[in-house]
Amino acid sequence: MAKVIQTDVLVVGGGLAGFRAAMRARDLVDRVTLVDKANVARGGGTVFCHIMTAPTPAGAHDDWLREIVEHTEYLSNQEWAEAVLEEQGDRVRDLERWGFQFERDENGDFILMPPRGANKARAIYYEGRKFAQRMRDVLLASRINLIERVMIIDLLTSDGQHPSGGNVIGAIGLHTRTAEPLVIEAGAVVVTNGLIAGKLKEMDNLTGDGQAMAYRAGAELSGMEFTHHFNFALWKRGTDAKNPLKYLWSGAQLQNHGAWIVNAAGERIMERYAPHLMERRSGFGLISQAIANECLEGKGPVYFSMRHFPKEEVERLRKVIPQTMAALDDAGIDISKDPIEVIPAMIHWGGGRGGVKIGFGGETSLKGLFAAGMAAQTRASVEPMASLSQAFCNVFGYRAGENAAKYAAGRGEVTPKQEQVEELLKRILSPLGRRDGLTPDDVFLAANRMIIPFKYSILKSEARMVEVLKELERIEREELPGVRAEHPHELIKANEARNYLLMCRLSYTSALERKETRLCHYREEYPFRDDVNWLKWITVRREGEDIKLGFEPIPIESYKIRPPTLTKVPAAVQFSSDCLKEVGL
Amino acid sequence: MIRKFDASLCQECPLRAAEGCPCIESCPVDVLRAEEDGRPRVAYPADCFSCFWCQLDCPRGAFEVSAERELEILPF
Repeated sequence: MAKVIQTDVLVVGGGLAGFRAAMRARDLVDRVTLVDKANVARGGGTVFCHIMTAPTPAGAHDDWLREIVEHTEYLSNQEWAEAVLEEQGDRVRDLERWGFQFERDENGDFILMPPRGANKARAIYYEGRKFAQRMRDVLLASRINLIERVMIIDLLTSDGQHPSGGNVIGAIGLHTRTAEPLVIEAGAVVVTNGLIAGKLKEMDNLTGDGQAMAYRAGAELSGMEFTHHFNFALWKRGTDAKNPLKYLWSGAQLQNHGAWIVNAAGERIMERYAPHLMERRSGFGLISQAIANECLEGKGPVYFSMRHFPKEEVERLRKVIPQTMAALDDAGIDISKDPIEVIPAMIHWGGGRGGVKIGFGGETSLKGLFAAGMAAQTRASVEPMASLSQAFCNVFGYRAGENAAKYAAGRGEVTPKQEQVEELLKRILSPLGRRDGLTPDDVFLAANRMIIPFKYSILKSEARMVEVLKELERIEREELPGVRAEHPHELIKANEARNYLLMCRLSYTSALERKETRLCHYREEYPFRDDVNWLKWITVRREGEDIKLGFEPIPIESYKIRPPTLTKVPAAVQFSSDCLKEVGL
Repeated sequence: MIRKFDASLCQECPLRAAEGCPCIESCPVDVLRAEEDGRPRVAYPADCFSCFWCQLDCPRGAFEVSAERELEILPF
């Protein structure tokens, strides 16, 4: 028999959104449980962060809103973006009251920086490690039941069905070290754990678990085509003839601070692709495509150069992003002297850009289930300027916690159906003890073969996406049911592999529908942004074992900020046919 | 990857005695596990993703992490 606990609100994931949700719920109900797969103080994405959007100064609201909306190429729920700007000040003040520290100057004012994507908007700095440690300390001091090293895998529903026509009434998971099962009966559940990584040596424990469990239980997801985005991967070129490139670290944190992007000839490449935006204000997608194009045209390698950073900025970076700096120190790279080679890669991809579809209060299409943070789609801004995701977690985590608590308070005892618990457990534990079949690592590798190469990732086409989906479906159908795990550690990875494969499939299914190029989504056949036909969201929902697609128009006419005309806008990067041959097309 | 781990340095660790090994708790992917005496053991070295927390959190300098990682699949 699995261990069973009861709670009013269950929060899954201990990053900033989960922390906010739990704390707000605790204001309103007695029993709040937060479950994290690792350690709130060190796991997850929040501990890697070091900036969040500053409280909006008086008079700046409209300018900042315009930057957010334009940066995300008008794919923005502007009501939400305004809520983030309006509520972030109060939410930052809460954090300070709890003892969280932000970097301040000698006058006691926040030290402000313009994050990537912003001209006028500003972000404040903090040390991710201290921040996450503080979250853990505050949770414990607030009498929130904190359970760490448990991977929540599936949701329990009132009708015992997946997909469910009823309510979410709890969840089931496994201890990551012992595989001991845990059943949590809850009045409401908030999922916040949504970053996605394919075990490519960065944030490897984040496998889209929140979206995966929500989808399986029947909740609607949205914007999954935008989850598949690139990171600025930093590389060291060695002398090993067979495999000269060694992956070092994600370069996003350095790029946030205005790293120049230069090709082998020393040219700043954004002058060619987006001279009005340059490195500071271009988006993730555009920069990735620009670097890829330079490499394919033979103008690479492309480098991040930080030689122009003031000395005090480098010193501050040492403090606020100690991991990046430790990685570069280890590789013998001094950013004040050495440029670093960069190739965009799918090292980890984004929750938040796509995820569980929520309403303004964090409610999902399934009653009793709420979502926030990177498990939810951050419709405030699909490809956010740097720092905005953290502000979204801060504001919408609070909102989801509040509404989950109100929902739970009005609800009587919940009793999971024993058959559902047993059925889910049987599936979750099934890899344990199998002697043949693939290992979880084999599954990750098989999926990554289809989603890492440029021709399947940065540069998509219908034919190639059909090829990807066919292979992903084959792996899910033929390999996944027989995956083996020799011990609890591998059993967790087997369940992660299942979630990751689902994320890949939902992402490509959605990407196949979006017949335009926007942000990180680049379609070879449609190298233009199509504001006539594609100012809309793509949603996915489970129907039996099939994916049911939906489309939801963005009410652009009712928004404050609109494109000058609704037309087709050519993509800033146009891959030439010679380039396409380079990648075997 | 964990390039070097010197377990002999853990002997004198003040934190291990007081509240348990911080390095084991820092690891997000359970690469480190506890021996019977509470000292860490590198149980799943292949799963280390070089987050550097053990190196940065260890009061005794027992861990040396390398950032350089081989990826089996490259973008192009």
